Amino acid sequence: MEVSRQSASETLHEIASLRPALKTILDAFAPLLDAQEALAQELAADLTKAQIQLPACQASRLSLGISLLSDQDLPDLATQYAKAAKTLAPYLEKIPALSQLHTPLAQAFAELTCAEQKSLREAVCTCQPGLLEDLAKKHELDPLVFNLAGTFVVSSLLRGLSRASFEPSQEKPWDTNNTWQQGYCPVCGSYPVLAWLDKPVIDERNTYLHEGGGRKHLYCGICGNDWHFLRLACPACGVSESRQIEILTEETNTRGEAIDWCPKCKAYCPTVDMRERIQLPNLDAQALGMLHLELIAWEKKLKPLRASFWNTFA
Amino acid sequence: MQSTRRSFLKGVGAGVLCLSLSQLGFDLTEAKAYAKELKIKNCRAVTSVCPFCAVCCQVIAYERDGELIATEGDPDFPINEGSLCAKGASLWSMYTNKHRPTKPMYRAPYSDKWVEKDWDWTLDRIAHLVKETRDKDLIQKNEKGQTVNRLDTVFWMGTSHASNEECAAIHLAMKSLGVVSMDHQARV
Repeated sequence: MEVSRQSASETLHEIASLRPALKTILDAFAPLLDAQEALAQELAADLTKAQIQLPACQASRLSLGISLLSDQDLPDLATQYAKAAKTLAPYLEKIPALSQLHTPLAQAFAELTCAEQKSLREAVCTCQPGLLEDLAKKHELDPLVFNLAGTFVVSSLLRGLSRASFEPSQEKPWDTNNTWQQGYCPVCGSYPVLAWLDKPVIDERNTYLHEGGGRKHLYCGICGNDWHFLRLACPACGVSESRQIEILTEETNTRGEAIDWCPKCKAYCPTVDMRERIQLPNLDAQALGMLHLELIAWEKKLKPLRASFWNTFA
Repeated sequence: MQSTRRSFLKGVGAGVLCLSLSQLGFDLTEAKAYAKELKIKNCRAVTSVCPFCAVCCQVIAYERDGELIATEGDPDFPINEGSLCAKGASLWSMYTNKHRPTKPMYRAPYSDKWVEKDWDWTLDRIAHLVKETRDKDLIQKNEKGQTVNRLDTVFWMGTSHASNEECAAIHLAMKSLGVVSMDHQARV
C-alpha cells in the first residue's frame, strides 16, 4: 500500500531541529536528496513514455536468491544517464570538496557505452572497486568522486526504472509468499542502508488481539525498493545462519532509532521503528540523519552493511 | 549483479573507495562530540514462546545484563504475526511486577490476613489436605459395584507455565489419586 511520506528536506529539517550538532551536514544534503527524488520521478515518467521497464520478475530466480538485475542487460540508457548527471551535478557541486565538477562529470556519463552503463551499475550496486576504478580512469575522473556521483546517478535511474515497472500501491513480487529471503536487494543486489519496522494493521474483526506490526523491511539506498526480512536475522549472515541480534539505542529520545548489529559478523544496520512515528520519514534522509548512531557503531568497530559517505569515517 | 556474503565482506573492505564526510569537506568535530555525549544502551533480542496457553505465540524477548527488559509479539511468527492477547502482552510484567507473589501465601480458614509461609510448610499442608480429603471421599465402587477409585472432591487447575513433561507428570499424579476433574488455566 502506498503511504504518504515526508520529503527528504522535511525529514532532515526535523532531525536537525532535534540534533543541532548534525545541522550543517544535514542541511548540505537536503537539496541534493530532494533533487534526486524529483529526478527519479521525472525519469520514471520518461521511461514509462519510452516503454522501458525492468526485466519481468521470475519467482523461480527470486526464490534462489538471484536479484532481478543479476546478469540482465538493460537497453541503452545514455540519454537518461546524461540527464541524471546533468540534473544532479549542480547539487553535487555545492558539496564543499566537489566544486568544479559539472563539466567532466556530465560529459563522462553522457559518453558511457551500454556495456559501461552495466559495469557502472554493477560496480555501484555490489561495491566492486576494481570496475569503478577502471571506468573512472577511462573517463579521467577521480575514482572516489566517480563513485559518489555514479551512486547518485545510478540510484536515480534505478529508482525511475522501478517506479516505471511496479505499481507503488501493489505488493511487490518479491514480498509475495516471502519469496525473497536475502539480506540484499531483490532488484539491484545492493545491501540495505536502513531497516524499518512497520506499523500495526488494526484488525477490527478481532479487537481481542493486542498491537502487532513491527515487521522488518530492509531499504535499498540505491534502487529505493524495500523488502521484508526476518526481525532477528542478520542480513549479512543470512536467514539460515542467525536468530539473534543486538540492539544499540540511546537511553532517551530514541524516536524508534536503533542500530541492529550481529554479534557473529559485527555487521550493522540502522533501524527505525515506524510505530514510534506519526509522520513517516523519507528513508534516504532518515539513513543520513542517523549519523550520530553510525559514529557510535564505528567507535565500536562495527561494519556497515553498505559503505556510504555518511558511515565512512576512517 | 548478485551480492553474496563474500561480496559483502569485500564491499566493507573496499570502503576506501567511498568518500567520507571529512573528505567531502565537512567538519565532524561537533557531530563526534555529540555522539560521544549520548548515553547508549545495548540489549540482546531473541525469540521465545509465550507461556500462557497452547497457541504458543512467539515473542521477541529483550535482555540486558541477564535481565528481561521487554517483550513483544514476533511479527515473523505465522500464528500470531506480532499480535498478543492481553495476557501475552503483559508477559514482561509477569516477571517483573512487584505485586507478584514470590513466596507461598497462606490465609487460614476464617482469617482475613495473608501470612507468608515457607515451601516445606506449604507442601506438607497441601499433602495433608489431599490425604484427608481422599481418605474421606474416595469412591471405590460405583452403584453397579464396578471399581472406579474416583475422587470427586479434588479439582486440579493446570497452568500453561508447565511444560508438556510437567503436565504429563501432574496428570499421572492426579490420576493415581483418582482425580478426574482437571482443567487448564488458559481455558478460564
